[in-house]
Amino acid sequence: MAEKKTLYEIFTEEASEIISMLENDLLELETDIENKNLVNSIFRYIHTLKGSSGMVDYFLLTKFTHELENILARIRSGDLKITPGLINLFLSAIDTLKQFLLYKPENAEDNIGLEVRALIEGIRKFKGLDISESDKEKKIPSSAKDNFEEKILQISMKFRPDIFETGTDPLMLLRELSEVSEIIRIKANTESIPAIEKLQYERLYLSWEMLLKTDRPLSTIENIFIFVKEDNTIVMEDVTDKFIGGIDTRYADKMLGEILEEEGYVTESELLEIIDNQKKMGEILVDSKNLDTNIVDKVLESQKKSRDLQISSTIRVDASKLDKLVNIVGELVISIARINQLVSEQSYKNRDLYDASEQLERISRYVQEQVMKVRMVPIEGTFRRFQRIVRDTARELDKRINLFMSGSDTELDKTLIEQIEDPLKHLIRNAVDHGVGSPDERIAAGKPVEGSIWLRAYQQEGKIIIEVEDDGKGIDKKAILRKAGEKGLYKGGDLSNKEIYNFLFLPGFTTAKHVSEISGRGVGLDVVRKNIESLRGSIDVFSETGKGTLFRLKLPLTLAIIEGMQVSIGEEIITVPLFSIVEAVRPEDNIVKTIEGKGELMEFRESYIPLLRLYEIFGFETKVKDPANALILILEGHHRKIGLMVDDVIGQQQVVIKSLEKNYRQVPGISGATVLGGGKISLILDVYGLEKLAFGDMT
Amino acid sequence: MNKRILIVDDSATLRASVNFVLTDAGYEVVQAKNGEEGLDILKRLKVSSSKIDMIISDINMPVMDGITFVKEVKKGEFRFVPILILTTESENAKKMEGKAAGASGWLVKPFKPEQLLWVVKKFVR
Repeated sequence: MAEKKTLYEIFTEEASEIISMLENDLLELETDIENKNLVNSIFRYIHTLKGSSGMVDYFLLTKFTHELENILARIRSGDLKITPGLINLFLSAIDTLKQFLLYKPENAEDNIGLEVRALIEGIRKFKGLDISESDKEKKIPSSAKDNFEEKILQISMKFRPDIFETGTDPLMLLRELSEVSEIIRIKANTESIPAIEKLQYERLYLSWEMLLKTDRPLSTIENIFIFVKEDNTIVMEDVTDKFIGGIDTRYADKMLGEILEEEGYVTESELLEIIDNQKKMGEILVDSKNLDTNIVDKVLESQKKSRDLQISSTIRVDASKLDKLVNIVGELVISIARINQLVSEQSYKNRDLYDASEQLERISRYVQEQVMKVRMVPIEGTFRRFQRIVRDTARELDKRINLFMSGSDTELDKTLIEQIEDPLKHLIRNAVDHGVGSPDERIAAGKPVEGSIWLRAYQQEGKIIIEVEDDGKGIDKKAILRKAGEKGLYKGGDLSNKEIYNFLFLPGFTTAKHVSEISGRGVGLDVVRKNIESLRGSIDVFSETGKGTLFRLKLPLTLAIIEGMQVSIGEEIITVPLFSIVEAVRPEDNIVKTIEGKGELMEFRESYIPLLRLYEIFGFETKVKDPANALILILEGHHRKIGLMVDDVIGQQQVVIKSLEKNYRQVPGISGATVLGGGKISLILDVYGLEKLAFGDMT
Repeated sequence: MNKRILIVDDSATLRASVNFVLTDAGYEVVQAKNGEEGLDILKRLKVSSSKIDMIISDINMPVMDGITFVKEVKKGEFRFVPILILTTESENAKKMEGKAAGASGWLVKPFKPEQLLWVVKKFVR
């Protein structure tokens, strides 16, 4: 009986039987080459031989039969035609197969290795055949790549209800998982179990969620699901990053009930019921579910630890998606504000509607705030890079400088951060190069040899302020005036500090005696200011001789939205950024004077400022042409205050800026457009652009 | 009581090796040469009210192939019995065909004793 024989004896017996039948079939095929049944039968014999040889570790034979099987597969698929040459090749393969059985697997290589290899070569070179070795290599599983570090996996298993009919029992999978990992927590969702009379014992109503810890390669865990992953929902996620020292950092943002539900102590519906009661969550759960107070305390403790840790986990989102979201939410807020306004005008008619609308507006603003926050990034990363720049630049110049930073956790819109990096870098290099003096100079001035530069960020009055300050010698006002004189920009007379410092921001203006590698590269403060202003920000300089210099940048919190005042000119509505408006005045008669070569001036606080008629500048139609009937907005420009004449003020509103450049083209004096509540388009005024347009300033 | 496993394969070598490995591990093994013989054995087990814990079947067999066999088993009394199909690398499509027919899993030939035991233990304890 077979049981008494060794496996190898059974194999050789079977193999010689197969080989002789193969030979018969082949000879028959030679006379009947169209016979598909013969080809199938030959294929099966070779296939069986391949399988059997593998079972007895006869690898050379497995390899050989594998090659034969490949050709047969191509013949079966009609890819390769049977020719007399092919039949001859197979017949010599049969002779080789017979030889295989004369040797034991361990001796085969020495005795027939060469012959087999030659034949394999012959098979591969057979006309039209191209089976490369690399095909096989691809199939080698890459388990070597797996690392063996401990990881935490979150697995959710949802099976098809008829899983039992496929012969798989989920319990087996759970047992297997517990053998190769430590199950930290597991929860079975029992919510979909029907009432007992509807229960079908052959169906699965449960699904599972679990968290487990393992140091096995990921493939070990994946292999457990090898037979079920195709037609069931098995989601595996490596959440190792979310755990720090065994603490689930995700607890920080979760409610206690949520955690208990996730861990399977309570169900969602139980939770919802309890939430309706609005008592203290922990107490209610303990009372109503006989939940162990220890469990609640334990979870509360984990939650607290997690919150303490508060490591923000991150999701990468395409910035353009965020931009879209910010835009849409902006539109939403504005539309809601508009509705609210309409409702409030009739609030006496329907008080409830008014209250609801107020509430809606509040919520929409909250949503907007949160959406904006998504775009906000701490300035820390940028600040940290400056540390390096200061160090390197100072070393190059043989200076000793300490950089002090504060407010690096201040959050700014991501686009803003990207765009202020270059201007800030320039200011910092300036401070190192021109601000802080050389050690000799400093000693002579009675200052510590080591210079200091302060970099500060903070929020003030809805704006972001960034300051770069040094403890150097201060700005030499006389040098500026001298230089301005040389350039023909200054013709004598008293100037305020601000007016003097303004020269610094003109293109090509530098007082440095030498052009250093560090800051004198033709990129001057004019570019810095331009960059800051293009972000709707401003830059101010404060300096005290012998004490130091401070550059202060004021930036909006966001680029997407501005607070604007809507003014009318004829049929048009123009939005003027609120931050540029000093005040609005209703002029008395005769305040306007015309001066030869200087245009119109108006009296404002005992001095004269230029008056611009907006309808003239943009060519709008209006009936209001007498300043006495008009409204004048006093705007803060770069170099001067400006009176801007408009018909009337309509109101004040937040608007979402749409770029004109993107949709049309750049228009001087206009920074963009916005869609108002009623669907009307309003252009947004660019005050600095307007100033340039009207006065032909260089900046 | 020992768990009973049916092996259906036309290769005597394969049947023998499965038999060796599983008997050693304490299972009772029943053998069949093709799908038809396999169905016959199941019929007799049913008549004698005996049970079967797992079926291991080759795909490529004369008389009745593995896919047909699996489909037939799924129609009858033993439809909840897990079926493991044996395939070779070159038969990737067969794995899916087998799954579609109702097989619970597959094992790629040639396999090592421990691989066979690992898979069998997934289904039979």
